[in-house]
Amino acid sequence: MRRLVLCAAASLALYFAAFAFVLHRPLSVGLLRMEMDQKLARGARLASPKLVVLAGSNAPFSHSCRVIGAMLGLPCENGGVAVGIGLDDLFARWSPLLHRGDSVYLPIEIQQYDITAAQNRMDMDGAWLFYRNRALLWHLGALRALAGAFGSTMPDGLEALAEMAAHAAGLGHRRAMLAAQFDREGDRIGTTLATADPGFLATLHRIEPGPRAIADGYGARETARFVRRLSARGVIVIGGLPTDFDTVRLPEADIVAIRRIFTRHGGHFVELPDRSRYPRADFYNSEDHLAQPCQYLHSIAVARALGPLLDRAVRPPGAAMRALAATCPSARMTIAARVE
Amino acid sequence: MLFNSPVFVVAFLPLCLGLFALAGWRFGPRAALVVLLAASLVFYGWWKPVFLPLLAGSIVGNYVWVRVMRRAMRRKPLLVAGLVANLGLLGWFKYAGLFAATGASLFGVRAPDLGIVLLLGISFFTFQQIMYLVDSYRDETPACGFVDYACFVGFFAHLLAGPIVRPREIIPQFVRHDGRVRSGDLVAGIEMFLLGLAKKLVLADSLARFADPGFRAAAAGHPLSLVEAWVALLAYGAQIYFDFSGYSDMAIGLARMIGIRFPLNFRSPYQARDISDFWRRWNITLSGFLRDYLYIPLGGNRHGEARRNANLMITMLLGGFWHGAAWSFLAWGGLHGIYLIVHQQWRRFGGRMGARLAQGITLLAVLVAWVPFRAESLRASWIMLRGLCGAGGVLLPDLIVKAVPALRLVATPVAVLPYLGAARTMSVVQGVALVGLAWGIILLAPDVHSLRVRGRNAALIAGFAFSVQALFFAPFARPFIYFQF
Repeated sequence: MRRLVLCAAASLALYFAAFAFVLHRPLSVGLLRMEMDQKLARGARLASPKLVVLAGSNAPFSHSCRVIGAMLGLPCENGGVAVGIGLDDLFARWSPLLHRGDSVYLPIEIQQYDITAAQNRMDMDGAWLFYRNRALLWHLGALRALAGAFGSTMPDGLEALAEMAAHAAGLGHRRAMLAAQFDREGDRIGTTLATADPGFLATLHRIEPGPRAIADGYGARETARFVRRLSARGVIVIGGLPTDFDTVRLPEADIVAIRRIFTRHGGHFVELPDRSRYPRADFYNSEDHLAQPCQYLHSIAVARALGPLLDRAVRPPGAAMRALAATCPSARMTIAARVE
Repeated sequence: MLFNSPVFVVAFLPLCLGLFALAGWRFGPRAALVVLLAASLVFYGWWKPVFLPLLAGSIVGNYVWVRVMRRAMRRKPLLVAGLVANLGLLGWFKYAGLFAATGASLFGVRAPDLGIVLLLGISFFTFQQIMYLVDSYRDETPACGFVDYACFVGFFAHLLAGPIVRPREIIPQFVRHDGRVRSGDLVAGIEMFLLGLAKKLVLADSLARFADPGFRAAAAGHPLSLVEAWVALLAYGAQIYFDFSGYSDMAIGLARMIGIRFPLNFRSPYQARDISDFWRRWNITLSGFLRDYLYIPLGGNRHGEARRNANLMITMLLGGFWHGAAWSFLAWGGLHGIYLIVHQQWRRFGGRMGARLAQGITLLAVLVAWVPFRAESLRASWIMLRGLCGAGGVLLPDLIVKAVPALRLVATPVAVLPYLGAARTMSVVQGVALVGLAWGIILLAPDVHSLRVRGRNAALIAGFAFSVQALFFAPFARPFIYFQF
């Protein structure tokens, strides 16, 4: 029995040492963390009042701070990174940077509301925080810290070895990749309609969670806590719907459940007339990712909806923005109503 | 209850072992076996208690029937009636839905909803009882008490997915059991259980993440590119081996903890030199059952070449069909039947080839046969086979083609390979590395039962922490593949 116990102890010690000090994934998770760090650094430098857009990848792909900020006359940072970065992590990092008079817009992906606490604990950022920022991981709670310590699977370890070798060999220049993919407001760029993947988009079929799952989800509770805390500090918090295919069913009860997460805790909620639903032809490579012309078109609509809530005059979009938005497939049908 | 669930590992198993040892020490071996039987019924009823009476009825019914048969002057009619009853129960629960649906589609009418839920483990405990019935008819197994018999059939370690153990190997062990838990057995059992757990949680479940999307896509009618199809098939081939051999090791370990020795069920099957050798290494207890209770009674190889081939084909078709109520399982069995017949003819005519080439061909044949076994329909099998041949194109993610520009000569770069995991992480790299490691272990490492102490220590150190990670922190416990059979 002693031999088994020693083997088990050695196994655990090696595991913790490897994932705390040696193994990490610089080209996949590391790239996302670098994206987040850059966005946080820029967000910290913005003068108040400012606007921050937070969600998963729906924020940078489908929302343009360049457009919204210009139309509302506010400095804006697109702080969303990816689903899989835990909402608790995202909120904990942005919370200290948001002050009285600032605004935050949250078009959070609907599947993020209904995740369980266990799923949240196992988000991919836990392993990264265990490697890079154990103080923040501990700040997120003892269970989250424990899950972060046990956040790496054997395939993660294998991938880490491959990525570290590739990174050491000079493959994947992360700063250059981020510079090519994001503008200075944190918006995703280069997602042209010509490089979109309609074949892949045609295969996607998402079913949204029901209203009870949304209301009871750990993500919803985490968001509600964030809304309450920021609203108490005088930050204007506004929820919104993420972009999605117009074929994905979104019942009224779902919208009511999402709206309540914000309005019951001191926040606001905007719902666009089209409920942020667009034809597949408007998207890039996922339900949450509009191609850039449609990102602009959607952002123009979002800016117009946010203006009254923020008590800001809404300026018309610039000519270049209008021109790009006009090339979005759904804009061709409604161009007069939306852009002009 | 699953062996790979926290409730089993941290609650059920320690409690069961503790009560077994306590009952054996305080009240004697019979009491220990009664505790084991009660624990097995709790284990079985955990999922759907409503099925407990059926299991209990089947065990009591068979035991009484065999006692009657042993005393009868004319045993054969009783044997036939017993076989019909057991196979009838299996047929109703497992195949009635399939036959109703097939019949309805042939006549162009709507299939009736029979409302049958597959009884968990029915394929295994039916075969166990058929063995006892037949062996008792042949006087090849001694009579035993009810508790010994019930433990032989219902012991939770093998109740749901085998191994299918011979009555004459196991029943005497229960009869002779002294109700004690010995430390040597306990340690050996825990070690084997942990090694099996690591196979399941660390390897099989990780591989499933790369096997499932490809087969799901084929089931939905989406074409697969070459890399996606091969990663899915290689991942599945490794997954089913680690899943089932891991389960078997866990079952062997659980039995060993209380001093019961189960037979070996896997012996590095993918290292087989030919297809006959494969079947001597893969699911050894099922192969033995099919040989002794089907192939040999059909006539085996005693009535000429044509009859031998027919017997082989019947055995493999029925063996395939035993796995599940779908025609694709029949196709899997049929393919293996053809492989075995071709191999017999090759040997008969004195064919020879190099050992490595023979192993490679065998492996390829086995992998191809997994396609209908895993695919949800024959149409999905066809889509997967087309992908494996490259008919769906050769696609690779942009990121990789940019890193290795020479790949542009053979592959088309795409933003995302949809059936190889998440879009923004390097799942292709992860998938390929994992499949490479898994097949390295499969083809180069000895089986865990052949490992020396040093090798077992290394395997435990490599797997224990990842097992803890998967057991307590994975979002859900993935059932064993063979539980569905």
